[in-house]
Amino acid sequence: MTGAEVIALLTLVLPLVAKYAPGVLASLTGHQTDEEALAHADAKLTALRQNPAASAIDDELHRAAAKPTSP
Amino acid sequence: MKNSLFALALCFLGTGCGMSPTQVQAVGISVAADLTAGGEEAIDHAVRADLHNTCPTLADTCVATVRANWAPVDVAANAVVAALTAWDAALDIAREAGVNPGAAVLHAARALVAAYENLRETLHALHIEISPLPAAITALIPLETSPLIPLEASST
Repeated sequence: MTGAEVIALLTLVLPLVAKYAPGVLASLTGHQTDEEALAHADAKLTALRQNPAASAIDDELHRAAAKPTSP
Repeated sequence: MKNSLFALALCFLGTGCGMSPTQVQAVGISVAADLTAGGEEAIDHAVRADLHNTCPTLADTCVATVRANWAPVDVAANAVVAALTAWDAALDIAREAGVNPGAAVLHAARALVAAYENLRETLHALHIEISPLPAAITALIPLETSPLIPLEASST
């Protein structure tokens, strides 16, 4: 490939990269807007628990209490 | 999460990632929340196993002992959630105030890193390993404190 061909190719490709690369990278993150990114972060935070260890113990106790007792 | 980290890494390499400062911080919070959720899952499994091994009959005094043994883990885990929530709130406030979120959320993000490392150390002492915060997250936090910078000024 000659130098002129390389320059011609870059002339064609670079504007496309400049136009679409930010969108492609943004799509990699799954976030298109500030609002969506913040909502996604909020949803992740809401899913976190308080007192995970105590919750697990309480859950096990509830399960044991819910089990039918043998006669 | 890998895609998010890849995009964050590209941002830090200065290639231009198409993400606003708010989006970069929000993705950082999401990734840290994912890691914390993984830690909570590991805690959940370990606590249930400990309870059944230590207290097969779930006697009250035995359960109380197990609960007390795990209390420091809950304190450490709650601190991580609180720090993440503070980081998220600081980001919201910075965005509404129109200031650079990178500077505005500095203290909250640092608190998250410290709290997460404390949780890792607490769990490590119990032979439970959780992932460290990736460099892409810690890179969100500048080493030196900086005053709040209006968005217009920071973009020039």
